[in-house]
Amino acid sequence: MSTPMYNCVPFAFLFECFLILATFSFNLETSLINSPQKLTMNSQNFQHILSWEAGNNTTVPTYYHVQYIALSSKKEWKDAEECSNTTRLFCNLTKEYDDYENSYIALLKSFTEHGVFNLSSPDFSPYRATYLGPPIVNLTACPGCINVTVKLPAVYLKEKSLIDIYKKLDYSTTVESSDRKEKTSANETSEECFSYVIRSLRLNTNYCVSVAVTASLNSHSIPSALKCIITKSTTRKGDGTIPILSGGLVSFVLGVLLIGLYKGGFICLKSGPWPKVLETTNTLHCSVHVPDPEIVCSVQIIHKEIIKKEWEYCDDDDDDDSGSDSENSDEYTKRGILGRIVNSHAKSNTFVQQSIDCASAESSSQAIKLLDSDAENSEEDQSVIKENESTSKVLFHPSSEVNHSSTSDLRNSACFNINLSTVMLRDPEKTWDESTTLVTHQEDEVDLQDYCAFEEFESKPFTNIDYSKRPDCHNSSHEWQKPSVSDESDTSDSEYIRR
Amino acid sequence: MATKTQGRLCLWQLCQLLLFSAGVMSLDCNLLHHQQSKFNRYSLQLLQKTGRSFPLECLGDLTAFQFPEKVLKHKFPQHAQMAAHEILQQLFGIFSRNLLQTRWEKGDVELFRNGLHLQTKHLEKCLSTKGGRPILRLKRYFQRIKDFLEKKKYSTCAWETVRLEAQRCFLYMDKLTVMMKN
Repeated sequence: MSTPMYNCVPFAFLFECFLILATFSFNLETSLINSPQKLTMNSQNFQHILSWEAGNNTTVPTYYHVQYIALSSKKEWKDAEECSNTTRLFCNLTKEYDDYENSYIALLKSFTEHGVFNLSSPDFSPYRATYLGPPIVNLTACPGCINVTVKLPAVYLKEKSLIDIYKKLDYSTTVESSDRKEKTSANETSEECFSYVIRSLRLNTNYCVSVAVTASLNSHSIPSALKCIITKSTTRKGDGTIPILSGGLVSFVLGVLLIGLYKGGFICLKSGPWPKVLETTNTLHCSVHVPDPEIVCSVQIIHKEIIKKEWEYCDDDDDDDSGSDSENSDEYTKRGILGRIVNSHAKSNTFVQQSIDCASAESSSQAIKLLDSDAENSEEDQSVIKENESTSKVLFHPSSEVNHSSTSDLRNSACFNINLSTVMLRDPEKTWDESTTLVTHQEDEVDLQDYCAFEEFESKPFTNIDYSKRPDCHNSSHEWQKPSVSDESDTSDSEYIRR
Repeated sequence: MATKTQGRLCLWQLCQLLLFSAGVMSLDCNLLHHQQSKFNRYSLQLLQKTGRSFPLECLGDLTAFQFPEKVLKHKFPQHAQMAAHEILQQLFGIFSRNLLQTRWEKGDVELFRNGLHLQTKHLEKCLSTKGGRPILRLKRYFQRIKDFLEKKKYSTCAWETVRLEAQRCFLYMDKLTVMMKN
């Protein structure tokens, strides 16, 4: 039994020594080779950097050599530039991986004085594996919203951009506030620079925004750093008051305008008909047919032959006065008779000698002209008052209504009103039966007015009396009403008597 | 009276059904490119996950199959749809072959194949016409892949080469999907 024990002990010792030696040798070998570890590819925006870590034994000098191959029909290993015999622990393969749709394998060779150690990377497709971003983000605040402007990063490829490579990119937004975090995705863009608005945010609150960009076959992305901004409060205070003030001002101006128009009589609130009294306003003024102020002249009419004829007339009408006619006739010859229109037969040789003491002597000549013209025009209905030179004018206040009182103011005026309808014309050679009354036409009255025409009136046809002038009817009516109303039949007598 | 109102209701419902169905059917094909894009991404991830890194020993079997890039230059959505449909159909056919020598995860392969099949059927719904010259070019391209597999006797390296080519196909599919969107 003791002999087996003696056999086992040396065997175990030997085995143990072998193990120790093996371990040491292995470690020695690795330390001698100094194999790199953790070969990783960091790719961002098509910038590819292969990096590794040095071996355990840092004292041993190691040189690195990087090769790469494109997984296509060309089975050639190529040397990476700037990565030959380098002691750096990284290699930039951006230029080497130029065909971004292809796949590449990188081979790291580490050289030590003891040997070469190869380490290969997994197949790498830049199109599918490069990290996209971070995009450049700018924020501007608005009321309850944030305006985000995103610019895609540049690509480490010649004359290319992210949109050129991927045509279309998706972007997602992360909005963080003090209490919650929200991510919105499913947005597309095909522009290098784009903007959008994040709505439905609280007013006057601090929000932090981050944007990430991905492609359809490349979900690797680096989000932008959080950028924070405070959303604006409500719109400006003045925005509400300005329209209110302007509206109030406009309405005030309109109100003032309307009031002014109403006061001025341009706007009538009452829509009823005018009272009847007012309807006749236009006609009332000039119903009196008062002409413009005339120059009243006192005229002395000296009747001569007329007297006789008139008396003849009076004898027929008024027997009472017949007796005193002769006496009166003498009186008449002595006194001047106030001018009175005498419408006698045209053939009668009546003429009136009148003296005028008017201020306007010129007008008399003009009046004479009128008279002459009238005389030419008229025939039997109109009396022809002519004299050599000193024919005067007879004033008349034409009115059919006031013919009674027309003989007023005999003292001052020389005008009488004669109701022509009562005047009888007679040819002395004929009988009374054949006498005709004066035709009381409007034309006659007009002609009468012509006789009374003075400077102001002469140029105007009487048919076109300007009613708008509205002669002062009150004053004229006073003139009218001053004398006592006497009978029509006595007018002629009364005149004579007074004189 | 009751029958008349019922008749009226039925008619109205029928009209609604027709309108909505038309809307639903059109909507499906309108969102096709979105769905296709998602499918592309998912399938490619699966394909990458199935195998690990391309083995260096298989570098010798690398072959240029020469995908017909003229197909990508047709700008009509219908042409792009037809091309995408053909690619998916062919890939499904290829990956249904002998995969015994591969060290791929079977579950992942199944998922990949099912996705291909479903998407093929989806595209068929929205296609109005089939065939054309670009399809022939694609057929020839996939025939070259099939011939390669047969020649290499479905070896591991052959399958790895085919897998690499399939990944490149999905890149082309992505471009076709963009073209499918009007």
